[in-house]
Amino acid sequence: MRISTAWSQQLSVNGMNSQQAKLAKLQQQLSSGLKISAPAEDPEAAARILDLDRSIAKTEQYQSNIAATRGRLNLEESALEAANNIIFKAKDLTIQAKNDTLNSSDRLAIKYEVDQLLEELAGVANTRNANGEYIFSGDLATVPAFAKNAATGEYVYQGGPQQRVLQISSTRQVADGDLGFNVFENISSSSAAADENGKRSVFNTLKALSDGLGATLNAGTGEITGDRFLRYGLDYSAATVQFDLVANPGSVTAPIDLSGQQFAGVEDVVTEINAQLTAGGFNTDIQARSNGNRIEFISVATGAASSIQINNTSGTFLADAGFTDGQIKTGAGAQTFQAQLGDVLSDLDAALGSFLDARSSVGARLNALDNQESQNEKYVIDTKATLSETQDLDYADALSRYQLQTTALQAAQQTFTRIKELSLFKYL
Amino acid sequence: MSGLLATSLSGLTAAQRSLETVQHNISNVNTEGYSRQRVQQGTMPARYTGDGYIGQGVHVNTITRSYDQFITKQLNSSLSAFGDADRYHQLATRVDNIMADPSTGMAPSMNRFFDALNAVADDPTSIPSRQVLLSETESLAQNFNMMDSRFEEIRAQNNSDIGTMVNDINSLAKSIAELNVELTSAIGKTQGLRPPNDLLDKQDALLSKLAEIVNVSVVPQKDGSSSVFIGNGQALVLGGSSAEFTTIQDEFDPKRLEIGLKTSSGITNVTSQISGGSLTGSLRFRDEVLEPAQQKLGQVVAGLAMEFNALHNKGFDLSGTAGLDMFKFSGAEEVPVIKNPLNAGNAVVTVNYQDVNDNPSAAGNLDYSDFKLTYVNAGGGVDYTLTRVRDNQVINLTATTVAGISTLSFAATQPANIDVSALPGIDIEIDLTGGKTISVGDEFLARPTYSAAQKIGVNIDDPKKIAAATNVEVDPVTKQPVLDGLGNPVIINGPMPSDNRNALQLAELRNKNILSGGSASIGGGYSQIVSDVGALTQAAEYSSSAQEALLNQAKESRESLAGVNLDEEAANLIKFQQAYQASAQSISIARSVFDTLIGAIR
Repeated sequence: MRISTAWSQQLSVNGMNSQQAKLAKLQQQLSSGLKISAPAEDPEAAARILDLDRSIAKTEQYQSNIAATRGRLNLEESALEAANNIIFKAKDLTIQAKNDTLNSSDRLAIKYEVDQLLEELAGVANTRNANGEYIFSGDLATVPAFAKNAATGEYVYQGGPQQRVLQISSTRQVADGDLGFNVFENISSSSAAADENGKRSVFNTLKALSDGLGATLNAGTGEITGDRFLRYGLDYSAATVQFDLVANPGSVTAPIDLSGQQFAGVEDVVTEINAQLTAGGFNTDIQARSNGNRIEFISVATGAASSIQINNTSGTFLADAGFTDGQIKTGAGAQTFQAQLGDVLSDLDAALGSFLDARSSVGARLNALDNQESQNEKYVIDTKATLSETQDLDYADALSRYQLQTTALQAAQQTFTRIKELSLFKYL
Repeated sequence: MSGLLATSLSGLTAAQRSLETVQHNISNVNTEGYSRQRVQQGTMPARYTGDGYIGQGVHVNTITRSYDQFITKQLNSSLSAFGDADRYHQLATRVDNIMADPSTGMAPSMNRFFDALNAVADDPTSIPSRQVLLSETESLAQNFNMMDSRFEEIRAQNNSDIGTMVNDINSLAKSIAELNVELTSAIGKTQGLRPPNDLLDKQDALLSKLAEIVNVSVVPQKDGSSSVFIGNGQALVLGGSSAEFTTIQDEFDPKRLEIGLKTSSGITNVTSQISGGSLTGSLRFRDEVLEPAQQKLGQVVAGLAMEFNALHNKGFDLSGTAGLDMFKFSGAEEVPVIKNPLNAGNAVVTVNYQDVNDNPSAAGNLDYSDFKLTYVNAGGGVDYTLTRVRDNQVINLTATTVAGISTLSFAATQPANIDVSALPGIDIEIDLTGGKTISVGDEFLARPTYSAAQKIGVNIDDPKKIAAATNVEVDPVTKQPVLDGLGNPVIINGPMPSDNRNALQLAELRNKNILSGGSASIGGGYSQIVSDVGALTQAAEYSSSAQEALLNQAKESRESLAGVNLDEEAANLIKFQQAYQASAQSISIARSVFDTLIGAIR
């Protein structure tokens, strides 16, 4: 076969070109440390790298969510411990106060101490985290969890109804705190002062202790409290809403009509209902008031003979405010000092139980965080290993190929010059 | 006696011609497309004498070039195939590099966006983390814009290349036609007995150049000219006249160039007949790589915007108001609609993305294609048809007209074997109010995914407006949502600053398979594009190097036949030099013979 001179030259040049291209490719790999510089080199691996990267970024985000959650739960844990210590002290004081040998000034001294504890507990319940959020306020963390009602002197929960959760893995969410409502307010109680659901706030328990020590042994009013979040009011601008408030069934029935009205907040509803009660002359028997973000109706008269009931006549108010039709609550009779303190003692134990529940739940969540964290960590390590296998260069292999390629290029160059020397014209 | 001298002289002349030809070969050793030439010698007609036929020496029959029509044809078809594959590969590599480039690649930007969303979920009251989310959203949208503009740059470059190639075809066709005239006269001069070798080489070179741009069929004519045809017999060169190509703009999309042939009756679209060559490479690249990549990117973008906006609309911001759209699409219309200029009616068609809150599978139904809407009025509930441009699948649509506005829905009767069961994630409205009309055959092109990446932007500039909350009221004790009388969750009508439930759901979009009928997530959809483009580029690389090998074989065959080998020429030089010397020597012998005879007489 004839080889044309120009073609033989071209062949050598082509050969050297392709060697050089391979060398350049290897050099690029060696300097970047990556196997693949463009998806075309391994489309499947390129897509896998993106998927793995995404997976790692996501899991690392979960890790930082875990860190944030842990910080918040640790803060809650120490707040709960502080609350626990306060209740222990309160229990000591209660037991001390039960001693019949104390005179009224001794009791007053204890009362001041209890008042201090009450303030202290309110401070704990209104603990704020580094971002300035009230940790027991749920999804309304910009307002304090508990505030003192100026009229009744009771601390009531005014945070949100929902506890925030954070994502700690693609399938697992963990609450980063607990609602103050559940920890401090909604505590089961068997005492006479418990509300219609058999619950009593620890603040009310401490207040009862303080009141008792101050020789205030009043009978209680009948109270029914709606359990719906009415902070942002109710809109009845296009609805018919009527219901009856009944004091001491059979004696006073106050019809309330909220039809066609719009309320911006719970206080507006209270003002309107009280206005209607006053207008009808029922305000001496029945009153409405706010309890944090909820609404409450009370019978003005106290004692077991007094009661308050709510009956629906038309519209959705009962459901919207969280009452049931015919819900009724009788007032509590006046107790003796010892009986009141007895109830306080058992309710303080119930409060300790509630704190303990919250603390063990926090502990369980912290455990879950640890477990998830190590799972996530392992996942990230494994995924990074896979990623490295997919995208990182095997240096030993690449360097030896580089060596080989250099030799091949040198050989091609030397062959070229040798062949070019061969020409018949040299001998003419 | 005189015969002796004449015979020697003929040898001398023949050797001289051969030496000249060898020198011509040597001089052209590096000339592209040169075919080595050889002197064809023949014996002179013998003179009859009483002793028999006496040889009269040698004469030069003709000078031929080493040429094989088959090899040349093979070379040209290889040139076309390589031109096609190589151009396709080069262009695909550019798209591939954009995908891989970490500064333009979307993957890091999407990761940062979702991380920022998670940070807002962790800390919904924090304005700084909301601000970070806004900036990341902004930069995500900008990255989408930038990627699309790089695609558009490639498209513009490709279009200008197509224009240049069409011009090259025209000027090559013109040169071939002019050369045809020259060849016909050069060959006519010798009655076709002595080929004008260098002109023929020039013709081959021009045809090869043409073959690199587009596949042509060449029909050599008896008079030495060559007729050149494209596709199914569209004549490009016939004798001394050449036709002219031109680029024509697609009636719907001026950025989409087609190839037309100027004829006496106007311009004929010959795009579908073009094959081979770099022109085909450019056209194939546009249709197989660029367009789908851009459409698929748009599908990811539109899908993300639809899902995100729908969820964001359901949430509530820091001031307790319902979330606005997070993403918006710039321009007067959300989905661009182009009206065929030939439409008889003047109805106005508006196309919008469907609301995922109304149709949960809207984003999944998005398809990476343009859609052509045609008014057919075929009866039986088939009022319009919608053609998916990427594969021409047709679906039937039923119009419901209220107060002059027709809304289109998926018709009850559909063609057999269609692979969809709903509109492709878009709502179509036809405005026929105020006496506007539509005629059967009127066409509109809707482009839901083509320009989504270019048009996307951020609608919100206030970090407080990020809707991280769902405001669904929950019973604090049972932790279950409170339901109203109709069984729907109760929504709190005011700010719940620490509620992060909507942000959590937004962040979960990262894992949700929302695209392509629920088969791919946002990130997955993007890596799909990367691997699609990568696979196409890889295949193009293989095919380009295979075609290069074939081309080299064809070149080698041609070079083996027609190329100049200097050693061979050196040997020939010696051969013809010796022949020349011998002939010269025999002239000297003839002279001495002559002298002997003269001397004998003297």
